[in-house]
Amino acid sequence: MNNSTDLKTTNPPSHELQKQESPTPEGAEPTRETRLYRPHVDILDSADKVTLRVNLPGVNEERTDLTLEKNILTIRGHIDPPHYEGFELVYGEYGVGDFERSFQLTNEIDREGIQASVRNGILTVELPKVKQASKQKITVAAG
Amino acid sequence: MLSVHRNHPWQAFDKLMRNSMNLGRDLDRMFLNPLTRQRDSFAGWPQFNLWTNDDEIIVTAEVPGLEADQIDVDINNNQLTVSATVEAPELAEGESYQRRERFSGSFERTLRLPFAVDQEKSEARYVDGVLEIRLSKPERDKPRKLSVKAG
Repeated sequence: MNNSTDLKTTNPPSHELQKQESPTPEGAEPTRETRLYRPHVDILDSADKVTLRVNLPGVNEERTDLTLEKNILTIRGHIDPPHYEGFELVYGEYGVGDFERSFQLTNEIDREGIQASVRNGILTVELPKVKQASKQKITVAAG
Repeated sequence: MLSVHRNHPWQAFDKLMRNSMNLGRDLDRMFLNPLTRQRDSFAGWPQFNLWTNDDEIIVTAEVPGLEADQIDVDINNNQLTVSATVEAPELAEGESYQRRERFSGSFERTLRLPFAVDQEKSEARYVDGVLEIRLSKPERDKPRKLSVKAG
């Protein structure tokens, strides 16, 4: 097997790694005068939980909002774009602004057990799954 | 096969889709061997912004998921090189990627600066996943005002 080709596929294509602006939801208008970006995310799945790892560079725990409405989990990270007094931006590859992204939770997620933490610009959200044992089992009697 | 199509025209298609999704998952597992963790170096990540005034340069980059001491910043006259390795999250037993968008692996990017800088007077900070490097022009290169003597 050709190793170098395989390794490339471990990362998404280059253009997908670039910071992307988030589409404004239809009918909704931004209330802050900053741009809105859609953060990159890894989703890990196992038998007992789903883990989200979200890139939120420049965001700390005080600037992170998580809201759960019905089955939609929305993550927001607030950014104050840097302003360097007396400096001029001479080369720019990325824009700076708030982050926002929503995820649809399935019924197997235990809403009460959700935990989140932020470190070095990464938000980790743990979404525990409802334990197998608590599912009701209905015995079907013959007859 | 024909009867399947007649009963449920999408069934074959569904099956095909399911198979290709499983294939994707298997490929993930194959490439994400936590033991090898070898990655290709990536040219387009992270992205940089560059600010200047007459004597200083500020370079910023969004590189979440590192520790400050894992980032190498090298300055050579008017070239700035930033390199680091972003570790992929460790997969627990029975855990698999459902989606994978974040960069992981090694990167090295070199930026050509608008002027040569003094390594001694430069400083880099890493806060909440954002790298900020402040670079200064060497004293000898700064514009000087010469006093003009009469006579």
